[in-house]
Amino acid sequence: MNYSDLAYGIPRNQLRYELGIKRCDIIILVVSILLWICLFVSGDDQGDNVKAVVYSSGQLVYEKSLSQIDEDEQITKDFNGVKIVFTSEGVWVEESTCPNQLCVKQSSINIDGEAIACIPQRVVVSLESETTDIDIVTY
Amino acid sequence: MSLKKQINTKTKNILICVASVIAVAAIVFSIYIVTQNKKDFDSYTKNGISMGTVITVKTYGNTTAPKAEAIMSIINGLDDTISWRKEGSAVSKINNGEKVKLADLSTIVSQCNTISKDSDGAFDPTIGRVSTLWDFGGENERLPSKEEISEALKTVDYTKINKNGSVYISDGQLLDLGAIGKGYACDLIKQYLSTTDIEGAVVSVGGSILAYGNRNKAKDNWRIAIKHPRKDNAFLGTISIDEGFVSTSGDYEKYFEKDGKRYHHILDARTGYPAESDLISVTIVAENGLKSDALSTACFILGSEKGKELAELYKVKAIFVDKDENVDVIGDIDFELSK
Repeated sequence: MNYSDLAYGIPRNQLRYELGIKRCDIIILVVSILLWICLFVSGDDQGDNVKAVVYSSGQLVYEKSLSQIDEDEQITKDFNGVKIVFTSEGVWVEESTCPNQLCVKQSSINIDGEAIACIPQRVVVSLESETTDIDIVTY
Repeated sequence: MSLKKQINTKTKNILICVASVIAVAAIVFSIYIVTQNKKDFDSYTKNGISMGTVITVKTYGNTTAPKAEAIMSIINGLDDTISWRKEGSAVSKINNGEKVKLADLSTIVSQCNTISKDSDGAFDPTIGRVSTLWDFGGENERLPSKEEISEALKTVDYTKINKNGSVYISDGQLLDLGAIGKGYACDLIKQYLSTTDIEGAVVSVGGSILAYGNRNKAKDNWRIAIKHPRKDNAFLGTISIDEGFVSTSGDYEKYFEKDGKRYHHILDARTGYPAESDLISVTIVAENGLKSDALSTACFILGSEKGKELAELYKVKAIFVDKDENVDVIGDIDFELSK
């Protein structure tokens, strides 16, 4: 064994076990921490979790996350004479007691920011998401 | 190896360790700060119906809920003033021949008249008698006869509005502020928000948008999606702005079809019929809500060529979509077309 095999008078191989620190260990540590941080940050993003919210006369009366609805399930609820259908694929108005039926004629909504309103019955159903890329929609 | 060399190597390794720990801590701290800055302030969302349309209010910062409620009250209050459908409203009184003295109304009418003049009468707030005939979105929505339209058109003339002191109109005229009401509501909301300590808010009054303040510490821009004029469940693209007003007029929002023809709600005040320009959607970004609302209507009616001239005259930014779905971006807008 020559001097180059020694560090602090201890064989280098042994030193690795004694101190457990090497440059490449530090690099691995740094990379691991960064990966962990990336995972932690991306953990906030819980995917495209869109929820339908229903307001009747300005009051929030119903909320339903579309991802919690089974693929072949349809939830139908009545809000002040407006029958709204909720599925995992989208939301639409099935029936309404309003005179012009504009809400019934509107196609289903399935992206964040979209809304269907029955103005005579004062009912609004809209889709919201906390992980959206948009703040509001102009139309 | 000499003792001195051993000590140097040891010191060097310790320094590397310390430097590494500091570097990691700095990186972690930086990421934490960036993450925190990107994180939106506490927010409150409220949806409702007013002015015959859907209202969405999102407020950010402290005590957001009461401010969202206050915004709803402002919109309801304006609706009670300018709705021609509401009995007892200021506009209803004017339409019944009364002289009404109201600062808000004088401001609105003055700004409307300027845009009416600059659009060669394509946009005109005295279109009330014509829009009553069509009654888009109302219970009597129908295709009026040519004679009815011709008769009603005789009453359309913005120059006959008296706005000196009291606001009043000529016999037979009806005021319809529907084309600017939503934008003006956004102006009033901004005035209110500027008196509060709110961090930010984004408000949609039937698709007319006010973007105010910030939603997070990083002061990221507001992202406003434009509804695709021809595709359901799709956006044309997204505008990114720090603050301002955005309004869109399109032929897809309120319409009916008769004998295979689509009749949309944006009426050309010169013909009394739905505007037949080469455009299907116009979005205006401006520093004033009333202007953004009125100009989106006026540019839509005028079409791409004259509409562009009008947008440039008012120094507003615009996005025009023509019948072939070509998109023309006018002015310096941070706009991303949807894929």
